[in-house]
Amino acid sequence: MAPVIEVINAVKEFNGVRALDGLSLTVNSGQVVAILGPNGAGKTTLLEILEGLQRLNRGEARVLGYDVGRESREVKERIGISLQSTAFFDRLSVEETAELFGSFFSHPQDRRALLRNTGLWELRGRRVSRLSGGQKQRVALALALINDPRLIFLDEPTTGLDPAARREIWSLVERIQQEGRTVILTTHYMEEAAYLADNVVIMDQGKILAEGTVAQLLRDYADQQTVILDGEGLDYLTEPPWNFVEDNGQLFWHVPNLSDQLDSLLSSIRSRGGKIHHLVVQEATLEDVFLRLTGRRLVS
Amino acid sequence: MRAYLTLVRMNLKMLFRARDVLFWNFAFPVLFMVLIGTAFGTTPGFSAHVGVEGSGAFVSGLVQALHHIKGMKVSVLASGGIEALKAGHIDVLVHSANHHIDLYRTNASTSQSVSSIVLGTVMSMNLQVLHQPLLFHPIVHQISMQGTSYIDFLAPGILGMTLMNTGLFSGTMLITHRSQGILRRIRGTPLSTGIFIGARITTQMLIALVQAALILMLAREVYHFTPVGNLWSLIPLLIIGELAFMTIGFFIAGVANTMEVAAALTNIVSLPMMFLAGVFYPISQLPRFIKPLAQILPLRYLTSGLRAIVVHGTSLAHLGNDFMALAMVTVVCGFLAIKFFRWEMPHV
Ligand SMILES: Nc1ncnc2c1ncn2[C@@H]1O[C@H](COP(=O)(O)OP(=O)(O)OP(=O)(O)O)[C@@H](O)[C@H]1O
Ligand SMILES: [Mg+2]
Repeated sequence: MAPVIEVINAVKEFNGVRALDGLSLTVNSGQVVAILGPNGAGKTTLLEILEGLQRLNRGEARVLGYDVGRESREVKERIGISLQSTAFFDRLSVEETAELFGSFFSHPQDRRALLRNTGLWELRGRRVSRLSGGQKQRVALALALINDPRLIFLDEPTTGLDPAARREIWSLVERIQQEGRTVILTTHYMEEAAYLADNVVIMDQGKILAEGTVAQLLRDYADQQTVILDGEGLDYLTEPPWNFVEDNGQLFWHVPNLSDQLDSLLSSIRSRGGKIHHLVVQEATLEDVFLRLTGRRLVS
Repeated sequence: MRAYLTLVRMNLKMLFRARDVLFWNFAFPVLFMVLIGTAFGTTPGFSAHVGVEGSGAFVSGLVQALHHIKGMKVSVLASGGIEALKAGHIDVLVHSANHHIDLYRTNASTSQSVSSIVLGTVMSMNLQVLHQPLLFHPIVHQISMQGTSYIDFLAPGILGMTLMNTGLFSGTMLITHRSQGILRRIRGTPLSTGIFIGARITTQMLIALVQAALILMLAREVYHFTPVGNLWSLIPLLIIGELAFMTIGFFIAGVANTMEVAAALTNIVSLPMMFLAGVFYPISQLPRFIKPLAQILPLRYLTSGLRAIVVHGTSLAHLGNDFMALAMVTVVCGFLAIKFFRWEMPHV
């Protein structure tokens, strides 16, 4: 089966700023792909190129087999989108908004079924201006489904939402995937990428630094665990050979194969008369992958 | 087609849910018309006050004769007539004693006219006493005429001004939708820009028709204004006029980044037109040096066209100039609007 998205050497510049810097990406049908990256990484730019809202300076982008630059109408008819900051007409109700957007497509899906499936049935008569952030985001998601698209772009669908509202969006996205649709979403949240995505794409400064399943990424870029210690008489651990890092009174130790070294660590502490109050062992996360790839943290 | 109709329907729904927009579109022109119409619109009828001093057959005959004149008030005074005249309480004083009659008038123009009426009345009283047949006897005919009262002038002017203001506003509304990101979201669908804008224009045309009906009905019911022309022929003029002002509004929306800037630009466009384009008084009354400026104001062509139809019953075929002028504005500003159209705010 042909890939639903194919980007080759995409370059997009805004007055000298390279938002996309020779980026290539392939996405296969039925996947949920999470694009993870800090502010200004180029996530929105990439999505908007694929949505036909912006044009590449160089390179190629094909969506569902169409060249987005030249056949953007065909693409728009077949994809669903939810923009990073989106607003709808304040004075229309949820159902009227769905009716209006449905009328823009040649084959809209049944509005009522859609509202039921996205948990908006009870809210259908409410004005858009009176919705909460989470409810608005659900409307945005419903509108992304109005033309029954095979491919959906969600730009930061959960940013700014509380954990409960975020969970609701997550279960909607899972459901969308179960219906066989491909979902491309961007996020700042590692746990969101880890929870939802089959494939994670890590982006920074207009480039893709790594991509793969969460397990692959952890194995390739963060094959280590972190020991966090606090106690008394442990300061010597910041010296070689241990090289712990001190932060806020706690000691951090990143080790690739902890099980081999835990014994010698503990016996060293014992022989030096040190005392451990807390010992935590943390598995690596996408945050560590990001740190390894960029030397920076994802969320500052 | 479905998108177009749905958009128009939703636009109307949004309009009826927006109190401020409703106010500016419908209530404001009506209030404005009532205000100006009541202050200046109706020509005051004739009214005068004659004081009479004295008694006897002449005095009672004069009082009776003057009573029949509409708007004339007659008071019989015991004394103090001259003072009342000087103070302006009466316009003319007639003093009668022993067949000697004095008539006092002032240099006020009403006083002059009233004294002629009183003299005429006295003259016909003389003729009646002498039983002389009348040699010259004019028969009076009354012909009613349009365009004499101010309201005839004002009603089409206010209609033109209303179309201008709401047309400009509806064009610049695009800025709100753009800054909220609604335009961008719509651009992510297959909907064509033409249909989106076309639906906005259609909505505004429907509003313009209601505005015209409202203003003309008010003028007729309250101020006895009777439109004479074929009112259906107003429709093409309303459409081209509204188009002209909407395209100016769209152009402003393309140039301005915020609604505040757009409001300032709109004022720059609309204020001179309100006062120089024949809304409240004819262009012919403008100072000579300003007249050439008035000739290039689009509203001038709309008010003169509207006025020609409803006041003088001119047929559309004779309004070619007005149409051409408004069509030219539409084409030029439409071109500029397309050239400057932006889907989104520039990135900051
Ligand atoms: N329309 C534009 N004009 C100028 N510069 C732009 C424009 N859009 C994006 N940029 C710049 O391109 C770079 C990438 O922006 P983009 O919005 O794609 O980042 P992002 O990864 O979506 O960030 P965020 O997480 O904050 O949404 C940034 O440096 C941004 O300032
Ligand atoms: Mg973004």
